[in-house]
Amino acid sequence: MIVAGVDIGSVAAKAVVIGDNNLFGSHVLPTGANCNTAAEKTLDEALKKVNATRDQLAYIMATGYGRRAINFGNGSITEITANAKGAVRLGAAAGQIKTIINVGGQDTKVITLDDTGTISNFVMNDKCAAGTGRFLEVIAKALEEDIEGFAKLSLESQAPAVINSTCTVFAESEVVSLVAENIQKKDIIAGIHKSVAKRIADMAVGAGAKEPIFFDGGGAKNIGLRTALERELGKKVFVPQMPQFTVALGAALFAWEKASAQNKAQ
Amino acid sequence: MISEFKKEGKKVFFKKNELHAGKFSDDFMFPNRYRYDMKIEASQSSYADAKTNYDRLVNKNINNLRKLPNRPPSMRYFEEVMLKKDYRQKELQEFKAKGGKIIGTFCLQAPEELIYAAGAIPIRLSCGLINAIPLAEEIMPSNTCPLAKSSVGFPHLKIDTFFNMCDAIMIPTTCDAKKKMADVMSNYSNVWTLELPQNRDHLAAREMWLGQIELFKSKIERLTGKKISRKALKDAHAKLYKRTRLVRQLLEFRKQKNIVITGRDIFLVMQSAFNDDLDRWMMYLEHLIEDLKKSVAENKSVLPPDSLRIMMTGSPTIWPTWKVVDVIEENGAAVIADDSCAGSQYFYNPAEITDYSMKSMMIGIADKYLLPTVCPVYIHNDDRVDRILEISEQFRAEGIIYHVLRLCQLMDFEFNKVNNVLKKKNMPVMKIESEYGEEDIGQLKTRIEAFVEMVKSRNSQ
Repeated sequence: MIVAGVDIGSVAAKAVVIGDNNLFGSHVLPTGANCNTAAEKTLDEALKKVNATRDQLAYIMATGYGRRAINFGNGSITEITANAKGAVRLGAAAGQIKTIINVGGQDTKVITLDDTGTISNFVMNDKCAAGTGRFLEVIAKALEEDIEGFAKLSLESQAPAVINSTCTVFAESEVVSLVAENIQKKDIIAGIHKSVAKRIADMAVGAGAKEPIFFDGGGAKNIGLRTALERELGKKVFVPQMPQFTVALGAALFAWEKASAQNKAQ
Repeated sequence: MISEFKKEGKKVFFKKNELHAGKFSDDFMFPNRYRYDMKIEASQSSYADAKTNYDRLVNKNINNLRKLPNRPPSMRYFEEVMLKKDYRQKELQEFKAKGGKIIGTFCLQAPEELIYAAGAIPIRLSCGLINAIPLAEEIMPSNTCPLAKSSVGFPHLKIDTFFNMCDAIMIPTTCDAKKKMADVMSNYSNVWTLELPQNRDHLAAREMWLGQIELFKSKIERLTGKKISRKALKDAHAKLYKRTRLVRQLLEFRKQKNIVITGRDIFLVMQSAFNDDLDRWMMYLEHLIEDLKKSVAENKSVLPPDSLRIMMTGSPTIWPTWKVVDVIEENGAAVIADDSCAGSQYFYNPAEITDYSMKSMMIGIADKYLLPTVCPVYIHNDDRVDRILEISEQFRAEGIIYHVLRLCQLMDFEFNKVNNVLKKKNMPVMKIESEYGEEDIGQLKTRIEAFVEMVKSRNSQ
């Protein structure tokens, strides 16, 4: 049996295909202006990687911001529920995951789980770019760096610059003036990461975050952010190998359950 | 209104012996010595956009409801009230032509017993449209809640004529925004205030409020030109008492296992009363109750019976901006309870009268509008927490959505206490902050759907 989970985020569309005998395929591409097109393309690419086709899929579960827009799915769930499912599976190595911190393109979430892996609470910042991937993108652009190089540079800093602005737009201006003052790029970037990490940590602590903490979403690929976050939380976080795919995997796991139930019913 | 007094060329004073129990001095007109001519105008396309948007929202709300199966047929009447404002405007114009007086109101503190006893008609004024906000921002701070801004801006949009028909606008001091709104609006309308005490836990507060109600009585007697008789007040009280009984009968149907009436339909019934004829509205409410009895007997449900049972609390949801309640009821949940002043609390409380002396009736009426309300107006509001617990238990709520309009400080302040108490009772709560715009519908859908998924998953264990 093969199933798929498709996570259509505001920035990136991810697909995960899973099946018998540890079959696993995944793909990510920018969502762009058309959710349905992006979803189809990313799913087809993921299927290609495991030599399968769409008609072989027993169930397609859609999730993410654009979950209602796709017309070829069998069902949908929110990315919060999908994230919990995926995180509990992928984080098993770290123990019974109690908290998930997800830094996405345009929002940041903290999800707390009880002892059985069920969601007990969730907090979202989806009104403000500060504390999300968008903030880092804006600053990276202003400093003419790509995100990966950006992340590595921040680790070299011994003295992160202090960034006062809480607003993305004003922080960009602040960064430009720091550059003019000849503050070193690595220190500015470290300061930016610290600022974002602080905001995320405040949100997590307010939501009652407990260890083990699972850190995912595109933002978790950023080693600079991960380091800063651990420092602000005073705790270690567990990052899976492919942090951007946790939610799509969670959706795929739900798809598996649905397909299995359908099989049983027949 | 104002021009009438200017024409007389003389100021209007209260004679000393007209001041009543409250012993407060307040002109018949709102004391505003620095009144000025407020130019509140917008571009031509703003007016057109406002009307288009208003109609769009109204039609969207009603069409969303019409799609649902098993809706009580009597709901058609309440839809018509919202769709056909012209009809009611015409009725009121005829009433005015015969010398009738109309009192505009906000919130739920206007003593309707006195208004009806005086032969006048109350209209609760509109404050639910986003297009009204830019107009209001010309004369009041933009850092105010959207409801207050919409209250101030709406009359200037030329969408309906209810505001212009009012002989007086009654504003209770339920929050800072309302207090200051009174001053702003006194520049172009006849504003009467009702000053609520900061704390209602002591006798002095009840006496102060009684004084405000007595003052209101003398103002409306002056406006209509005749004293309110005991009989008139007794009759008005009886009618509104009956209205309360009917409303409570209506709300009882929300306790059913089936969802025989949606939260949106309850809001529709209550908010259509803002400006409808009282007798006719009550008659159709009786029809609706009969319809619902049939729905129960025939085991009918408007939303799936396994919809998550949600209680809404917090800032009210005002027609036609029903974004939040729409998202809730279209994503696996049903609003089976609320404590909204524009919802089930509106006509909920009766005036309890011990005898029909004028004094007793006045005390009963005053207490009705002070003691049982759950607005976050007062310093101490444990009553509201009690009420939320009571309602959520009675209606078997499975989750609470705490709705806060942005900058509604009072509601926001009370959240932590409510959340803490409910958490201890294992009642899931989610805070939803929103404004009047529709840009956050996607985010709202995600949150509410996730909340429903979370609670359902917990309940299944």
